[in-house]
Amino acid sequence: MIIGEKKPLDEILEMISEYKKVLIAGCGTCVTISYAGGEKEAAELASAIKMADKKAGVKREIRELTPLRQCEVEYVREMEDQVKWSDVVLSLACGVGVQTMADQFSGKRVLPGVNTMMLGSHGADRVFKEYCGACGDCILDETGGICPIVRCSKSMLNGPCGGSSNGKCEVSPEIECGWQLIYDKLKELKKAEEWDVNRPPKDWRSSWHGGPRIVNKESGKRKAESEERE
Amino acid sequence: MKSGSNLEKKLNSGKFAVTAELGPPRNCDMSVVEEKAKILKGYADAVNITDCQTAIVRMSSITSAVALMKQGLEPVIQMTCRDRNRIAIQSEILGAAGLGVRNMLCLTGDHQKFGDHPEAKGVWDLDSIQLIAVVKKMRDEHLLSSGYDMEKPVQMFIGAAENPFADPFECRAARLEKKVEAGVDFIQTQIVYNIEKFEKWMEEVRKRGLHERAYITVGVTPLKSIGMARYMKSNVPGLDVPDSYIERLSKAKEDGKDLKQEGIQVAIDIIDRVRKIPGVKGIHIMAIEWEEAVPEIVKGAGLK
Amino acid sequence: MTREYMPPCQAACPISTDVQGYLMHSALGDFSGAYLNARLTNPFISSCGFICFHPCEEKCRREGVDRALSVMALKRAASELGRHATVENQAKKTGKKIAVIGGGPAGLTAAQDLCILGHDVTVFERESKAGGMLSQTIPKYRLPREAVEDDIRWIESAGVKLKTGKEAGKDFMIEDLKNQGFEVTLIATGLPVSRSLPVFPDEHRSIYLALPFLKAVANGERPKLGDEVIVVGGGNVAIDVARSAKRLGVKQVKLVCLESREEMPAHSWEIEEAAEEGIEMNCCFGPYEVMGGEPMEGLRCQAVKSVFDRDGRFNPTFFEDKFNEVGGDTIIVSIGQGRDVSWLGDSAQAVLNDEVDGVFSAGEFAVGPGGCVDAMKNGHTAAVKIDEYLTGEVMETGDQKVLGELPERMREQVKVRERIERDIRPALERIDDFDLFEAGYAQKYACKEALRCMSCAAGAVVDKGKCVACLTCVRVCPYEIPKIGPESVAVIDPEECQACGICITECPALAIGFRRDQEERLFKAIEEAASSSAGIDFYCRNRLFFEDEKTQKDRARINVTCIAHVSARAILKAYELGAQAVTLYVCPGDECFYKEGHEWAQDRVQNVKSVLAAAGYEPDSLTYKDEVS
Repeated sequence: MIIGEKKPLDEILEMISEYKKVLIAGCGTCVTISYAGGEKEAAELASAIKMADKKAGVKREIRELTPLRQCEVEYVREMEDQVKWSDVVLSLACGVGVQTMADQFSGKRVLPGVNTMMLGSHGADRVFKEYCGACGDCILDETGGICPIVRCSKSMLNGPCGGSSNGKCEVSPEIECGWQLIYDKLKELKKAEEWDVNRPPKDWRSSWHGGPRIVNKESGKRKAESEERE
Repeated sequence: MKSGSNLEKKLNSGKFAVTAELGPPRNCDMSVVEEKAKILKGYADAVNITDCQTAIVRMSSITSAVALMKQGLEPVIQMTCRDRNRIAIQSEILGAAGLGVRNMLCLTGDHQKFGDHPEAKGVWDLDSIQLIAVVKKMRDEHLLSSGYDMEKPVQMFIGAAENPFADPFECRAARLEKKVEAGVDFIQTQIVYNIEKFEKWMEEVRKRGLHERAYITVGVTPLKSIGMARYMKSNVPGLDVPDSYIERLSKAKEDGKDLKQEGIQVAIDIIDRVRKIPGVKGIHIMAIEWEEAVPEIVKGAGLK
Repeated sequence: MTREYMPPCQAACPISTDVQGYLMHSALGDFSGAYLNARLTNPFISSCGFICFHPCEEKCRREGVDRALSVMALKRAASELGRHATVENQAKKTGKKIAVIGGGPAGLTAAQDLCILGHDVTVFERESKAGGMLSQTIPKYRLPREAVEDDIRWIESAGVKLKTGKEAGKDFMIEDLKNQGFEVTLIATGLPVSRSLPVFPDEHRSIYLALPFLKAVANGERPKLGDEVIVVGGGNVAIDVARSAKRLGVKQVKLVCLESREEMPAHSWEIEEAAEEGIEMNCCFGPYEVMGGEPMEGLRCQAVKSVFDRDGRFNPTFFEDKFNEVGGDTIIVSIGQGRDVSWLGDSAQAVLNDEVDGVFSAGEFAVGPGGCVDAMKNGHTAAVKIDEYLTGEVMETGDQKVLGELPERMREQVKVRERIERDIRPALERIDDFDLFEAGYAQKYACKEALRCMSCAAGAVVDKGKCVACLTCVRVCPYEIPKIGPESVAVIDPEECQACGICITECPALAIGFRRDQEERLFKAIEEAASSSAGIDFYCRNRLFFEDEKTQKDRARINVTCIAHVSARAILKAYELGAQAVTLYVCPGDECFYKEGHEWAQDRVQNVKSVLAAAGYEPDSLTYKDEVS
């Protein structure tokens, strides 16, 4: 799941300072679940902006709307009337949603109200952790199911480095050493021998480092047509 | 001979090797390097030049190495994976070798978060083990990582660091083995204070026969003050400073002894002890910003 | 809107009184709200606050945790503390005229309902006051007449026209009503005739019948009784008679009844109270003959073998040779009441069979003896039938499931909060007069008692269309109730939900609401408070258990049953609408009526403070207070 984090209010106020009709667009999926941009957060943000405006003597209209997902054009198109009403859309979706929205409405500025943090998850608490770097070439089969690309601060494929201490990363005591986790997991799986593998440098072309990626799920004639469109 | 460096020769000859460490300046004043080099000259078989250690911007390792060589010292350049991808790293190696550098220490590197530019983007394209393999391939097969044949080998004595005290402890010798498998020639360990724990690690190293496949040299750092001892104990991840050292320095202070002398003596005592451990082939003195201590330690340990 | 589930208290009430609704208002200190709420289905709430047999209490889900809510007494409190409230009947007039004969609970209930439906209703009452038995015969120590008068006032305010002193069969006939334009006549004349037995001579100076006796006493008269009074009968009326006789100064009151004490039709608590007052019970005896002439010497009784036959029908049998003599100089016969159909002449049976066009019957007249609340139910039913008759439209009734018993798992988790008992006058003192024998709740205690209500079936409900199965509710519920169900949305078992509100206020999709209007009410209160005051206090009513309520003049107070109901959104809304300072009054320490409510409040205060700072407000204007004075 994509984990979002609310942008600070002052940053948002600065962003929208020149606009008088602001549509706050929440998003009903990932950012709802990560407590950053769901209907509740949209309502709270609307209140906060109105409060700030009141204090600063700013006249501004705020509306809120939360579609199921902003990353789907069909859901975004349903918002057309409200978007047209607005001077600007303050999207609480992840970066994908913000851009999908902007793509759909030419001439309309769509501002991000949320920082897209990572692909992650949480335990039963509200502490979200990064789990996947979307590198495009998964090696979880080799590493006990724990991703060294993002769960090691140095993306080491042959870790741990010398900074691993008491299971924690040298970067912060809040970060678990990914390689300690891998080591423990392999032992738990009785696959300790997999530890001894020397992994060669990774081919990063499957990741963003190979350029923005396109995954085309069409096939046959439809695929040819879609590639032509691109 | 893989590289033809003095360090390689010394270690090959079975003599106890001494390396020291030199931190380049945080500006472009080459005289700093030259001054430090003068102090170390004659007391070390080779001198490591750090690569922006703790992620603080300093004069580049290879550039400083050139200055060092002019002074007649042999450099060991350090190369981390933090700031360069495989393209830059190989380019630098070609340059260094071209300038006559024959020793290189392959490091993953300290995280940029610790340095003076914590906002920087880390590269981490390779890790230290992959770097060792890359250099070895450049030397032994004259191939770049891409497979391109350079037709001319890179002469380089390949070193790496290893921390016997980091966690998980039981995988540390195994990790050294990975480095050996990757092709490392010599190892400089993390600073050793806890000799008992180090001995345990060495035992495992010997069990795996690693001491016969790579030269193990032991990191030693003189304690400059009680504060420094305490700081290293609690703030440097993967460093194990037993309380006995802090007590020893405290007692020296009470007795009105010269603390610096005592710190140097601690280092000498450590050297005396680790020399006796089978498989230890040399020491690496890291007198950080205290290069003056190196000659005293070397003399005191009877290594000159 | 009909709620999906009905709490068992409401289901137990013959007229489905929204017990929880007025308890919730009471808990929040809004007694006029409680009064209006209770009035929605019960036109006699003021009277019922004294005399209802409260079947709701038997079904209260607190029974088993500690004890049932004191519902009847809270109804009384709602009436006593909230009866100044009024509403206007805004029904569109239909122009249909309806006559109701008999101004007791059944007739007046039907009359009020029909007025609310827009019909023009006139009630003909033979006595000088409406209210039926409530105003005529029920002893005043049980039911003060102000309560009945309040109910009548309310019914009249709905538009019911009352014509007292008008007796059917004497002053008018059904035919006359038709001629006056009444399209429908409803007969609800109750059971006004006291029954007797052949063993009791009609003309005996020392033998009274129950209803005339009670009526005289209620009128302030003091019928001439001897020193030893024998009351014959085992029902509630007999108990009223016996206790009234005691209050008239009779030395010894002796009850004689066919039934065993367990079988007596009177309510168990009435029997107990009578016993406390020194009334002697002679159970399992039937009157055989009056001993002596005038003055009498007593009543010879025959021992009862059984009261009911195998089919449960009343069919007493006696031991041929077992007798008992109960000494006494007065007998009051209290063995039941009957209807009076004499004035209907030949059409009586047809009326009772519902065969006369435009003539309906209701209440005890139609269905026989019962409590006040049964009569009201019958009145409601009659009103529906009459409305259908007049308009041809069938009224839809919503189907509601009744919440079952509190699951064992939850019973262990609900905090014990003992029932707040009312003062009852000692038996020896109360038999001296006809003053009320039970005290009502003072406001503070009424609130506290109402706060014991567990809001059964008023807890969280998931909007399936909005739920994204994010598991927040599953994780925040302190009782571990929500689950993600087979439809991949959260499911919250209404049997288990305690209505603490944490999942509702934390759901990031705003997909969970209360089954009642707690949230709407809170936001409405915020709107009102913010428009009138710069300082708003959210006050957890649970604090009443630790401090006396104090209000600050310059600040608006919004009561909640748990501080966890106050979401971050609610606090922000208060500021957005103009509040300059907000305080959350939280119950002290770990005393949350539910679990963890205070922790969530603390969290939200912290979060909102940072928003305040960013929005240019003083963060310290938002405070969290858990200390009590």
